[in-house]
Amino acid sequence: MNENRIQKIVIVGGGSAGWMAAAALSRVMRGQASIRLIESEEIGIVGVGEATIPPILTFNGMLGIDENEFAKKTQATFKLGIEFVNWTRQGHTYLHPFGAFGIDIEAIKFHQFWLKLQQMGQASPIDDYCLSATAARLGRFARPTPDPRSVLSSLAYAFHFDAGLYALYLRDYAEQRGVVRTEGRVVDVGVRGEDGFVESVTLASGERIEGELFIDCSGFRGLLIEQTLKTGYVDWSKWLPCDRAIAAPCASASDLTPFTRATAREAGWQWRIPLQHRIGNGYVYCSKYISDEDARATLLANLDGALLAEPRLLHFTAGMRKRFWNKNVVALGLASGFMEPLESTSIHLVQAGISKLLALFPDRSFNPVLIDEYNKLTTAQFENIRNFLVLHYNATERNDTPFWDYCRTMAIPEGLQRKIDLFRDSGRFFRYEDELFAENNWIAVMLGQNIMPRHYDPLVDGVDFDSMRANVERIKTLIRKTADSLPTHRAFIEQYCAAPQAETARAAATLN
Amino acid sequence: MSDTRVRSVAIVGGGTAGWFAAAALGFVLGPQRAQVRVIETPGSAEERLGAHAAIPPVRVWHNRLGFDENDLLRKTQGAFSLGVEYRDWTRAGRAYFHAYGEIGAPFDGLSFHHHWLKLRQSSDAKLTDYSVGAVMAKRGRFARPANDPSSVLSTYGYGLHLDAALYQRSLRAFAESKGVAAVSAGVRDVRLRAGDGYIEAVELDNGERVEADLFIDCTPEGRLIGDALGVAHEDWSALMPCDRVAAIECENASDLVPFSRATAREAGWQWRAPTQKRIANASFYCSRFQSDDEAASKLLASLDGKAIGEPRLTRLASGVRGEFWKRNCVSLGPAAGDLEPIDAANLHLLHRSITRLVDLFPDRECRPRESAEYNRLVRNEFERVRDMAALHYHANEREEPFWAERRAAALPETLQRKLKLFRSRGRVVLLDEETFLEANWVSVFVGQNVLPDRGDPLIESVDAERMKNNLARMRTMIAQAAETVPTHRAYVEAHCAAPSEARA
Repeated sequence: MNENRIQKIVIVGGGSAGWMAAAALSRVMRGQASIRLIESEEIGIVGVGEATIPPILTFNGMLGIDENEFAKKTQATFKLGIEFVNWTRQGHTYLHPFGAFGIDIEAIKFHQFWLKLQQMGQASPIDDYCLSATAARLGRFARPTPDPRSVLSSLAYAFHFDAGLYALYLRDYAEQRGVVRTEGRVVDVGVRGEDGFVESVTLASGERIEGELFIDCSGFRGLLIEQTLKTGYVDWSKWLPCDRAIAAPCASASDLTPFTRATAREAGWQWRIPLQHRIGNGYVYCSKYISDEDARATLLANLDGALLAEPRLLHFTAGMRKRFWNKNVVALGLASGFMEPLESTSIHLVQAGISKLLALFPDRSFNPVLIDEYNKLTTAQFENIRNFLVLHYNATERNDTPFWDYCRTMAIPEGLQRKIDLFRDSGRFFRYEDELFAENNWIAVMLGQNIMPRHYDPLVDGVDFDSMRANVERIKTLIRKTADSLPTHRAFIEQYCAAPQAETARAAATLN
Repeated sequence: MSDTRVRSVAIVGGGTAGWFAAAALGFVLGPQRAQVRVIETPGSAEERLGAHAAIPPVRVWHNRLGFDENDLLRKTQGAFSLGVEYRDWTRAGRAYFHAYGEIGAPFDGLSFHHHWLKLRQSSDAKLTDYSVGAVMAKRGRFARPANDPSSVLSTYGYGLHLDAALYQRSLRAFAESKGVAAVSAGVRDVRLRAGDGYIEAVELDNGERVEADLFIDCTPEGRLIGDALGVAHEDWSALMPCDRVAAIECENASDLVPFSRATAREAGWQWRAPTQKRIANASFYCSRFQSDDEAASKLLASLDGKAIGEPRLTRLASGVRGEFWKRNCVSLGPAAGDLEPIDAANLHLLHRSITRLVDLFPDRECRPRESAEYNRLVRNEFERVRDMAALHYHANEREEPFWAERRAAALPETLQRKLKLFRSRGRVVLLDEETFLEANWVSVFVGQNVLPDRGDPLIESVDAERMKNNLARMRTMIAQAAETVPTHRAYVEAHCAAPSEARA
């Protein structure tokens, strides 16, 4: 038995980040450490991360939760990708689907064959070779099969859910496993004299809560990581200039799209996230190029249903903490940094932080080796995601507003430039540092934003043309046939995971 | 559209590298697309070692080329390898086994080795008792893994031992069947194009001038990449100090063990890899600490069977080319990089380099974007393997001056990071382009007696009884499963025995 092990964990802040951490830690600790979570109803949660990406399934699996049950409780819908409207140019649309394009032939990537056919004017849009994309366009959904021989195994999905309900769901889960929730606002932080470690937090009620490991989920302000430890922030606004968002829910539209939509606007972009009981919307913009009033008006003019609540305004600066783990404080969620939810990475970054923390879990000596490794890995992850986001802004033909002029002509990070150059040259892509977005994701966005490789892989010419073309055609037919055989997204939800109607109404009423 | 495809490839130098490149490029390009020629320069056909000992991914290219593995083993007197036995590396008398494949199975969210580390004090079960490959190896047994993922017999991997000369011959026959032509001649001069310095032609000592769009340098000394294009060799001898190799084969009198062996010696280490009828042996040593005569006589004295011929002495300069690919010249094999084969990864590095070349195959312009990416990726691969070798050397407790020097050698930052994380909590850091994965690094860390200061804190939340029972069950299951497998010799006889006629 390690006598030096951590026995008291304190999570400051609820919301998705806090409750995700509480749920995962309670699952893994099995009572070996006390876990307390402090949250304040006065402060409320931001909850922008309502759209997720496929690794969320791993997190759910780790917790051992039933997916349908979870979907019912969080008003969830399924997500096959993101539709990007007006990013490349006005009137242009492309999908970033989850899941692969086609099938590699003779170890040559599928998109290389597509590039050749495309140059010859004989290719369909690349979405036609991806099951997730084809099903998304048709508004259809079913879970993939595990049988690798079936095309249906190539479908990949994630969820849209109500972040407030998600936090409640995880709270229930964590409390059942011994996490103690304390309602209250932190008014003071106690720091140890000799090394500056956080020792305790004091609530407005006067209660003093001691801990050995603190998880800072207090949101943008970073109560422990920044206000107490003065960790510092790396500002990325020269690459990601948007600094505000105005968010509002509206009533559901008739069709339930199995994808998120991101529509580029004059000074930013608007998200649209369909849930069972409502649609989440928000306009992310740069205050230098548009006023709050105009942004609000733009948002309200572009809703698919009746407004359900007063729009809320958020301020932020894109960037990350200089250190995510400093002394005995680990920051998760908005306290760790902020990147706009253009690729739905907010929830994922929390999840990734938790799994790295578990993999590097300290004892009371807080060996700096563990802390350095955590910071190194997390920095790389933030930077790789940042580069992927910057790609969307920079690879554009738009010159219709000063905002887009800036984005199109800005200097971009070196690692991103290298990726774009290599892809533009001959469609090649290599993943760095185990980055989150893999080849398919980058290819979808690079092609979508019209970074057309000048050459295709020369080895494509070594493959017999007629049989290759027939092969590619067969893939397309099979994908279309499979997609057509799936139920509609709405029908699938009705059958497996519809949220009870009463709850739908109540949730809509209480949360807005 | 103008045609800018590579129409001709000249591979300068034969040997395993040259013929492997010829086989792969002949296959991938096909005779209609491009003409592939091999110029077998004097000495390039000679193999330093009598056999290749190769880790499991060697089979990837074999499959891609459509080789029937049993057929290949018959033609190359080949045998199977479940891993490498390391003797005397930490100190004399201690041995450990690095088995390919998994060790135990993870449970309760923690990799298996954390559980093992936790129970280590209270149990005398070795880490390798939980590896099917290691248990089979110890008992001299072998069969190919089961396809059924629920069977414990699906959890190990296997590599191959291939007679080097016969493997080269097989590759050559395959390449020639794909239309690759060969000529035997020396290189008299390398002609560079005025203006951009691309290689235009090589002039041979038979008077012939060979032009090509792309040149592959497989000469042992780097005649093109180094001498003609001026790319320097980067010296890694500070980490891999053996600069001499004495190699010899002996008859395989005793049983056929399904693994290779690396035994630490006073001034280096000795390698042993059995094929069906022979055992390939070699002594890697450092000339500052041992003379050639002493090394050769010690090698001869340590053989397990009758020596075949005399020891062959060669030099080794561990390191890599500063750029593997420059302009229209790609170096492969020893011209690109040479390492002490402590972890049986040299053939793998050659195969991976060719995979990368195919992934980034250029057109005639050979644009620097492709070569820059190739150089970045291949360098990563070499560095990861170098770090594993450096780990074997670093973590030793031996007293000889050679070994004391090894302990004191400065380590690359990447290996320091790996060591620190493993020492602190048994965590394995995996970087980009790793050849070896978590179980491999754990095997070598534990084998070299690099153990965490403390266990994983999360292990405390696993019920101790449950842990003990799980581990006992795995051990029993593995021991029982290993008993159902035939001996390695019997398996070879049944599937891939080489014909008994003498070697040509």
